[in-house]
Amino acid sequence: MDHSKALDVNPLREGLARERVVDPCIFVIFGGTGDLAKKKLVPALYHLYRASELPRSFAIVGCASSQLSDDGYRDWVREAVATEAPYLPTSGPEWDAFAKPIYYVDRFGDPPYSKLKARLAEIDSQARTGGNYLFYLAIPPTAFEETAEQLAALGLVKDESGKGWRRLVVEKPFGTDLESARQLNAGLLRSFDEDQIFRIDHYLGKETVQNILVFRFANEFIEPLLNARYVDSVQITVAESIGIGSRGAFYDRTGALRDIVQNHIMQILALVCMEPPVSLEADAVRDEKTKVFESMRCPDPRRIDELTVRGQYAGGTLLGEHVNAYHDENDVADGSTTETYVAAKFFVDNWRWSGVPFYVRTGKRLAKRVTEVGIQLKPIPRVLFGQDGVGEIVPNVIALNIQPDEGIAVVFEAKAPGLGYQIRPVTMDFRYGEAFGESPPDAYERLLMDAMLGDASLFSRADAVEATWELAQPILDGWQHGGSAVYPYQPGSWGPREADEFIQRDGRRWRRL
Amino acid sequence: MTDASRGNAHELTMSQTCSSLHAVDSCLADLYARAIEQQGALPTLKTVLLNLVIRAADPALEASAQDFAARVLTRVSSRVIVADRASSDQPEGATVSVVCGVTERGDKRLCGEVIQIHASQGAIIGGVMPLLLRDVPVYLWMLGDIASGHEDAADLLQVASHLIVDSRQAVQLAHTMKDTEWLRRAFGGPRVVQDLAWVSLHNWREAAASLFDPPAARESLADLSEITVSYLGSEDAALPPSLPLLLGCWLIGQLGLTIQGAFHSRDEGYRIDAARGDQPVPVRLIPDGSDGPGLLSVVIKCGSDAFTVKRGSDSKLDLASVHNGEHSELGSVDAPDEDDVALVVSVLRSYGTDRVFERVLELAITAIDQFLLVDERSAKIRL
Repeated sequence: MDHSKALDVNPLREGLARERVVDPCIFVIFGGTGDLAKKKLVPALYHLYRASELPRSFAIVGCASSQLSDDGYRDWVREAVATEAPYLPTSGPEWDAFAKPIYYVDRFGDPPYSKLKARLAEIDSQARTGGNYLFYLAIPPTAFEETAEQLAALGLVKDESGKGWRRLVVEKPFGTDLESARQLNAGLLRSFDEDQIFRIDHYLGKETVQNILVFRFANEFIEPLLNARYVDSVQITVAESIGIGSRGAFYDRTGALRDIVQNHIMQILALVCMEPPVSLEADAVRDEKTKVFESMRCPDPRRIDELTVRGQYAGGTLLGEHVNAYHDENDVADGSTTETYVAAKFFVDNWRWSGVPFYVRTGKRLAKRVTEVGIQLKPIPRVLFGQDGVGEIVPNVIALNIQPDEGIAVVFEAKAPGLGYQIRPVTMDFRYGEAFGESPPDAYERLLMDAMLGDASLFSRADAVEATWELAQPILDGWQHGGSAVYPYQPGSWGPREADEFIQRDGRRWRRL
Repeated sequence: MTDASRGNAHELTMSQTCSSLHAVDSCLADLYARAIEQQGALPTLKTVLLNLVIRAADPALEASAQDFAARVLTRVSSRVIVADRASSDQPEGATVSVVCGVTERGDKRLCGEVIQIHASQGAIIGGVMPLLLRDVPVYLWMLGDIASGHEDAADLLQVASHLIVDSRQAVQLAHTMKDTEWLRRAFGGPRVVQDLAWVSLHNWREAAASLFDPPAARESLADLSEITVSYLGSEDAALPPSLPLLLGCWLIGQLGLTIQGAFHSRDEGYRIDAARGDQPVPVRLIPDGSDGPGLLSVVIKCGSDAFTVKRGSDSKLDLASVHNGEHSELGSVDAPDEDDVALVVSVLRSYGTDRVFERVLELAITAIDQFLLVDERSAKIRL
């Protein structure tokens, strides 16, 4: 063993269930009393604590505008866990041990958060967290840049001793268009280095999204098929059956393209299309994903109606209940043209995928909540079995189900029992829940752990964010300047009729999910 | 004959005696049909991730095998085949059981199955092989000491992808360890060999590793000077038991030491003379003179610093360090669950080769050879 390496890596961790452990650190939540902290961050941290994944020297510091004491914030955290994860204990020794190193700092002062540095230093010294701070911005994106600058002004971006690390975690959306994304990146990079910034897209924390890489690169039978020679087209569907709920103000400014396509769908598309990375190191994976985005054909804003369809849900009845039309939802502007549905066609113009259309669709108030990648293979070159009226032979489909029934299915043709060649499509189905009998961990738990470990593999890099905006921006421009229609669709349907016509023009159909 | 019972609100066990091994599939189908009838609101699914064959070294252990099978099945979906011994004139029937448990999410009931057969030595392959489910791994758990009483299991080794042994049961540790190593290397034998003694050390390893997670503590390892493992046991045997031996050898391997010799005396216990380069680092295995098995503590000395894991209360391992002259109590972690079933479940949930164990096993055999060499020389001198 090279003993100098032993100082970087704990040699006794090799082969243990926890081969990587989080350094002692302080987890600072800006927006510490907000919705994201309540619903996701606090329950995820408590889960990690209960699973002994957090280091012994660890503290949580909530930062927000409310005036709270440390005890007041502990009570808020307890209430958050009791509400969001009621099956977890919020009293007793385990809870007490979790809650003890929870602190609160309000944003008041001039400059804001002026008390933060001294308080963190005090907690760092008490808790022996080695000067390691993770700043989680669970605040509106408009405040990202300013908060990063405040942290820089307070001298919190680098550990003065040079021993501790500092990281910044930001939540999507990363900008509202190409220009704002560039500005945001530039703003964050004025205060932090790229390797300190962790941009969370929680879709990438999902087990089944990560399984796309395993499915592709740990199996010999699938990878040879994934190219333009065998694949006819790919469909990526991210469908929600719910409406916008109480998010009217946010959603009306955002729309389905910005909310889902520019980030979640693009990330999934990259995992399906990317070349094998040289390793699973963060930059090796992210380099390959960025190459996919850079290979994608930039939509022509003048032809945007040929490449996209947008829609908005109408009012009606869904599963026996009356539901509002989008324009009747709270906080939606009169005459809003914000799309709650989008279908689009993309091309990846590289050697592997040249000519293969990638159809994507996402929407609210659709028939089901389902996220799926459907890889449609080409028809067989010659039909041998069509003589006795069995009808067309359905080309094979490889379906990657991301939610809710996480798994993989292969649709193929089989001979039905009987004389002659009656042929029927059948499905070979692998479902996570059934095969392993275990629930996958929550996406946030995985991502928070990775951020604390400094593993950026599942986080978006600045260049990838901008590359995806370069693909989304022409669509936004085309819609804005071309005046394309926003088609209404019935709640519980699969989107506007025009979306069916859109794909039928290419001689294809949406998969029935 | 069918018997159904609910062990608790989450568990349903149904058993049936099959008159012949040919009827096992239909017996199981019948039991699954009954389980589905009783499913209530939850969907019932058959999930089998692996085959587990349990073969006891002697008939006295066979009663335990059946109990272990049922307990394993509640935690890992599998087909468990308990291959009991039988005299050749005994009819080859089987008892089959379906055990169903509710998932963590509470959304479905997953079922696995136990098949208990009685097979004489000549009939064991013909009894077990047809019952193995294809395309999933075959774990063979040899209950008892592999160095004695498993002569008839050679054929089973040919079909096992994974072999589970337990050196804690060793009557002659040298034979057991060497047999384990031989099986690991044998062509056509199991791809993965796992020792429950090693598996039971996981929490000790985790505890010791956690002492060196802080970079400042890792820096101390440059001055590594002595390792002491204390355990419950007697000083009379020529070799230390497997638990302290494997833990000591793990530290030797992971900390970059080489074994140069070994020594045993009543006063000093067992000492492995290890070194890093030309720096000697003795590894002492110290019994407390009692009968019981188990570890008491491990102390890693690095010059004036010392890092300690010590068995505290029954369920905890206490951590402490002396670093730069400062003594710190570093909390505690769970002590290992040494129950056989818990350890086997842990093995069944892993799949790949354990490279660290392979290295530790080789080091343990080197140490054993050194101990025996010294013992042999001492015996000659005494003569």
